[in-house]
Amino acid sequence: MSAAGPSPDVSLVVVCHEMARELPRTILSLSPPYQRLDPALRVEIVVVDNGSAVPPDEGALSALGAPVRVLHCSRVTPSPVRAVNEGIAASRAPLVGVWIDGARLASPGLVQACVNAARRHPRAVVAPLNWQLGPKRQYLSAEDGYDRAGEDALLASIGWPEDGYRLFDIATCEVRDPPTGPLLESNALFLSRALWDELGGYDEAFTEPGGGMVNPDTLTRALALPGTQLIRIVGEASFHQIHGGLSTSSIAAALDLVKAGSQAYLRRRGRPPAPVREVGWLHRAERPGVAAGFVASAGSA
Amino acid sequence: MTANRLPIDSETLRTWLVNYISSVLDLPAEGFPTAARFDSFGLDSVEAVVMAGVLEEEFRVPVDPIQFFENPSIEAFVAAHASDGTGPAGAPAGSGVPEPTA
Repeated sequence: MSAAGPSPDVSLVVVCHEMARELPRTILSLSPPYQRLDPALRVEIVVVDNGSAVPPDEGALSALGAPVRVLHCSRVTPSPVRAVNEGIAASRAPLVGVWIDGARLASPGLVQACVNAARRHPRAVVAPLNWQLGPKRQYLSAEDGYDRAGEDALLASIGWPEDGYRLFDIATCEVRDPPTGPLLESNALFLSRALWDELGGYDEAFTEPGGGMVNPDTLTRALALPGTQLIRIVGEASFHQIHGGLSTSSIAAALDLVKAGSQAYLRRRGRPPAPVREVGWLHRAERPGVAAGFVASAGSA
Repeated sequence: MTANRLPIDSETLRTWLVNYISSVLDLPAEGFPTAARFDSFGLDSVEAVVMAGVLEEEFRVPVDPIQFFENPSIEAFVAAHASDGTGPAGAPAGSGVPEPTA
């Protein structure tokens, strides 16, 4: 699919590498009718493949419901950062959400909630919380035998994608004391295009496999821009599928990754990476039976 | 910890931990509750792993983050791992990981 056509209202940039199992589910979860969108809202999905042996099939992904463009990263590296930035550059909407890890499913109202939240502030940094499929953090579950087949069965057990909100029944939140606890990162970060430009995208100095601490760094830098406002999404989230990624495969791999990433971050930034403790604004998604709008407001960026 | 004790004396290690944690949490270093559990003042599991990485970088010694879960306060960690620590030496790595909460 070319970039021609009506200009979208929101772009979703999804980076992948060897995600033949996970990516179609992710794209399905970002496409209507699974994704419950205002009918007038125009969404584009830009998939950036970072060197998969068998690249994603654009036609097959577009058949899932939303217009998808598949790009191929011009300089494949173990870090997804270049791919993210090429996706942002190729996207067209005034609001851009980034899936640095294409293995993350969305809950059904996530995109609309982020669009609505972004409308609340001219310099909004919209951060849905990260969840992981399975009974525990995946690096712990993996030690107990949790794997792709187990996860397939888990998704089947809730009839996914029939009711996407049941993802919350089979997943674990990455944030302690959600939704207000320390926030290390958001893997579905939405900023206006102007803010992405001001930020300079993701920092390509993060060349470590998986990008190291680039995602926490991006959130931290975005919130350090003058006048920005953190908005956490309540009631919607992204959900990580296990796929052999560095941080979710085993305890040892996860600890080594965080430790090495922290050391690289310290050398690069002169301070350790730290989760964001500012609560910011909480934006509750509009769902049947749940009051819409802000449920609380604490602090400011 | 690959070796059960670090080549850092108690006072140096305690001071470093107090300064690090108070800085990360934006709390005053003076009067810092060194006997309190890390999680009681909001230091989460990821930050404990980060702290291990920074400690390792600072002193050029291997630090196993699991030891922050097994000795979950400044005093407990110092006792188990300072070169002149007064407690039982820290357990070898991999002897159990509590469920991290973040």
